[in-house]
Amino acid sequence: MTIFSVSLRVTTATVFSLFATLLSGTCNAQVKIARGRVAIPLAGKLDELANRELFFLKKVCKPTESEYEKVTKATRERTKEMQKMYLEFSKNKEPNTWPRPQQLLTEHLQMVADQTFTPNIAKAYRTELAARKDANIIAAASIVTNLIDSEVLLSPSEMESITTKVAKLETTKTATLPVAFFYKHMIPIPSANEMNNLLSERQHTLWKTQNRPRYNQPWVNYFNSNDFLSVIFPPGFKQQAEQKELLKRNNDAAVK
Amino acid sequence: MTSFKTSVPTYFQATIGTLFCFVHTASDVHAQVAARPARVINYSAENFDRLCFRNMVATAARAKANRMLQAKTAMTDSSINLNTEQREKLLLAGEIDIQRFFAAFEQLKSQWKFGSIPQAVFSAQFPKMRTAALPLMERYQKGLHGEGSLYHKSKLMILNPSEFKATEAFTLKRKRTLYRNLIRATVASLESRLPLTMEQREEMIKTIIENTDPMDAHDYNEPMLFATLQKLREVESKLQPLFSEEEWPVVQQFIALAGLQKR
Repeated sequence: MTIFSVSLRVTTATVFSLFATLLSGTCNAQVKIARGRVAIPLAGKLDELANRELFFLKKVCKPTESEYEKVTKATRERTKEMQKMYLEFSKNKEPNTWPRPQQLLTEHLQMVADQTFTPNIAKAYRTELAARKDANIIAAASIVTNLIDSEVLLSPSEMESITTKVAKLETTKTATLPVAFFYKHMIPIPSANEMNNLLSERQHTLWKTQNRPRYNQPWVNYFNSNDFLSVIFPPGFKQQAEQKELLKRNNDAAVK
Repeated sequence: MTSFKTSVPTYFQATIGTLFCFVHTASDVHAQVAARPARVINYSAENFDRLCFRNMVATAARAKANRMLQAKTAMTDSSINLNTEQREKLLLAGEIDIQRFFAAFEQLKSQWKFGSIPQAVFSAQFPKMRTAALPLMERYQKGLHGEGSLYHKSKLMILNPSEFKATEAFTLKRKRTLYRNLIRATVASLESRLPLTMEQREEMIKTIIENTDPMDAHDYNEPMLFATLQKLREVESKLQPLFSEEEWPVVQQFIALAGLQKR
């Protein structure tokens, strides 16, 4: 075999590797795009949220027809503003930095309730909203506690203590989307440092020896957190607008 | 879009680099042309371990079982103060449970062919393999030292009745607390679609907890909601009075999600 008789040949493996490289390159790029793109602030999702919150307000405040009309009108206006704002964010901000639509909307409704209802009713509404928020945080902390228990075993009193402590953590407070209740990798596991303060030495040793999926919720927000529950709509929200209609409304809002 | 554009030159360079790496010399180009081999699947014993133990190899799964045995015994100890002899006997019984389990696992594993398997053989083998492994997978997920285990029986023999009762009460309390936590999360999931008042929330959690039996340890690799929705089904008639006519269909839709559970 002389050097001249040597022929260069691109093997099947090369072709595969070339293909895989190109493919992975494209996929990575797509994933990067997708992370920005999947958080499409569809007007329908905001409408749905507004309907849900209006239903709740109606349930708690029991408004008269004219009061409810006033609240609804103000809320529709606020929803349009929010839609515009989120469309702007979708162009230049990472989804995880967007303010939570539910928080913005309930803040708005609290303000409208203060202006519309008697102080007692407005106060009752605020109390209900605060209780719901707390219940959500406690639920997320409870799931974190159960997950920790599944790996290190906790006594009932340790569970209570851990739930209370975990509820105070920022990771828990910001991870109250329903996806946290579905998948292991969406459960807001506290950081290694925080775990140090939560567990006994024996438990901590056990915790460290176990593999667990990387916590993957931080990039999720209201608009991209589709889950099994997305097929359930609030009372009175009979039909979701067609996809085309939703996109048209988004475009209209963007043009304006 | 920006991220794609900026990364194109990088991928192009990487591609060219890879191309050079894979270009090799061959004395006879024609000799390289071979008949297309039959498709084979490389399915190793490790793949089977990972299937059975949620992505852990058998040695890691065994080590975890040992650690959980230590943790369980430490917990029993904290509820009734075991003496050294009792502790050692319990640990021994627990180790035997682990040994028995992994002997059964190895026996099952030995029935299958691993390595490079023709695709047709693998396609026929895999479903059977998974079905056969399912009871062991579930047993492992539930814990090897629960009711029916030698560990549990030893506890019955070693401890006096009041001690045994105390450990059982402790276990039940643990189970109830874990169950309450799951129910809290389930109700919070419902609230993401139908916000509840304080009274509704409290009553709903109370109704479920008081009228259903707490579940066994949940496997957190499965969507946890599905496990508890079955429990809501059991108390549907008791839950209905907590909701208005408008709200109830939403709750029913929520409960119906239980049907999405894989198995």
